[in-house]
Amino acid sequence: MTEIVNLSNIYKSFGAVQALIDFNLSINEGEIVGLMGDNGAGKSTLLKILAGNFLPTSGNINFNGEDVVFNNPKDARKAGVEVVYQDLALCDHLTAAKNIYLSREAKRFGFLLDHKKMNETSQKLLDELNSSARPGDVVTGMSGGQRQAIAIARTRLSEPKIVLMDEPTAAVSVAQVPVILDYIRSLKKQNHSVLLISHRLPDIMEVCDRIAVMRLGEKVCDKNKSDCNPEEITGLITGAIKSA
Amino acid sequence: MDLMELFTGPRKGAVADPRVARLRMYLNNLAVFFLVCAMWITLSLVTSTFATTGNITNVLRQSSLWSIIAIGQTVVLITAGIDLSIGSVVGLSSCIVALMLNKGYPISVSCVFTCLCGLGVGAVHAFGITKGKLPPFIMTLAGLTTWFGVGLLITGAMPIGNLPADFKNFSRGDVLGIPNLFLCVIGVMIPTYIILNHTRLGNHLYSIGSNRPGAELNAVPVTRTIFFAYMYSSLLASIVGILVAARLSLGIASNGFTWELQAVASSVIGGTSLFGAVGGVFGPVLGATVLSTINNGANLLNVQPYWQRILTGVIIVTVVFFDQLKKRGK
Ligand SMILES: Nc1ncnc2c1ncn2[C@@H]1O[C@H](COP(=O)(O)OP(=O)(O)OP(=O)(O)O)[C@@H](O)[C@H]1O
Ligand SMILES: [Mg+2]
Repeated sequence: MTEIVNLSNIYKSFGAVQALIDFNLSINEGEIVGLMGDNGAGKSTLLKILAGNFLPTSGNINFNGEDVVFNNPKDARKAGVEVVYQDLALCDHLTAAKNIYLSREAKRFGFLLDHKKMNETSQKLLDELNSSARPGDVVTGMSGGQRQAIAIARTRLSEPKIVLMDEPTAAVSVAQVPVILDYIRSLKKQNHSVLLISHRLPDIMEVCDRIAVMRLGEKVCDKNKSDCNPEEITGLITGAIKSA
Repeated sequence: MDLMELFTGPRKGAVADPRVARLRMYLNNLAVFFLVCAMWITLSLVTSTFATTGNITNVLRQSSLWSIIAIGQTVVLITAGIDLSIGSVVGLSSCIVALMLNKGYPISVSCVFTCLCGLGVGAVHAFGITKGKLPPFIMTLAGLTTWFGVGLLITGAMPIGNLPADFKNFSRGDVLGIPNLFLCVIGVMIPTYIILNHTRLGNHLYSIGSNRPGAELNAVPVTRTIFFAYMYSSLLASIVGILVAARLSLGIASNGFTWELQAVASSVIGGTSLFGAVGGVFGPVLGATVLSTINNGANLLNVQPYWQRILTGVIIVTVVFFDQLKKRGK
């Protein structure tokens, strides 16, 4: 199987805070990797490094067989990384459609926005995610689930190599969780990889092929799902079990 | 459509209807429009001098100049920035164009060069804000004194007159009865409207004002977009500098003194939010017309013209106070 991502010896510090310590992770094509860990473990930091938001303090990122440096989100996106951020990164004053298309707006005549196309495609994407959000509505005042759907819909505008998702099911209703998990499975079917960060063990157990657990910036576990049991994972997250 | 939203803003958890937001903007502009009408009618009734062709043209000329800089200010305010240097850039530009004309350069060359200087000034501001990470109000406040100083320096603090007749005539001329200055406003409104509403650049301006870190995460070219906003504002200030020099037949550094605040006031009267991401092209033009009417009315009523400056301050504080209430309500 082809390796899409290989992170080796990644360190990241914010001043005195060591957010990532000698972190290694490999993700194969079409593989869904679950990443768990306590609050402040460094999960989002890792995601943001892969998304081009931060540079690692040291360490190497190999992406699709090449050593890369993602200086900004644009570099990462160009290489085939799509991201759903934990805070969703939505612009409240813009419509859902303009949020979905932000920075890759559809154009006509080379420079004018194609509002119609953006609205129609957004409607389709939101429908597929079973969301009641309407493309022409501004995001202010939308529910957590509707916002989540908009952030997820963004990842469907390209053919990514990997989709990074930071707690995509945190704010959504019970009914919508399976829809999002289905979407993650459909990505796998199309041979896209997924890095799924979540605090919800059932979600992780349901869709992931492999589970990694981090604690205080270090990886303490990285196993196939079949080798994991929930008690052990919980123990690793809380620190009751040191490593596995 | 829930009409209560008009007054309260969207209820928490309820979906904001964009039609209501649009209607609110439209109603705000309509209210300002009626305010202008009411002022004009009142002034026509209580003074014998307001409703004369000469005076109305005067009001419209003044409002044209303020409209153009208010549109530039609006573009910057949409990004949640502010351009406090506008007045000095108007003054400096009037000096540059007057000096060049004095030296015998053709009108076209002088105007183009002045506009290029304006673009340069805006680029300096944007550089400080993006690369130097300075707050916009600090950077442009420094610009306010700096460009005024440059204007004084290059003119030796003297007014530069003796401008060619063709140049001076432009600001008084008209095309088919439409004053040239008003045509300039239209010439600025149309491209600005298209940029704000129908281009990626426009969408990026609003996205930065709405959520700058979020825009960055979504690969919006934030630096480039901020450069555009400040360069556009300074360019429009330069154009106004040229028009002022033509109108007064004079280039002097104090042209445009405190106009940056007229621009802010015009813009917020027209519904622009100082907190970013809200604003259009019609509002600032209406706002500028309100201010120039107040200015003119005060003169005609023999009220001390200084009141207009005091009123500008009061208007800014009042409008922003309500804007902030709306924001906090959410
Ligand atoms: N931009 C930043 N500047 C300074 N410190 C940061 C920054 N981002 C994260 N940190 C620190 O790095 C550590 C890891 O944070 P991170 O957000 O990656 O945790 P997390 O695992 O995503 O937690 P959560 O489950 O709460 O989302 C924390 O101690 C946090 O305070
Ligand atoms: Mg996190």
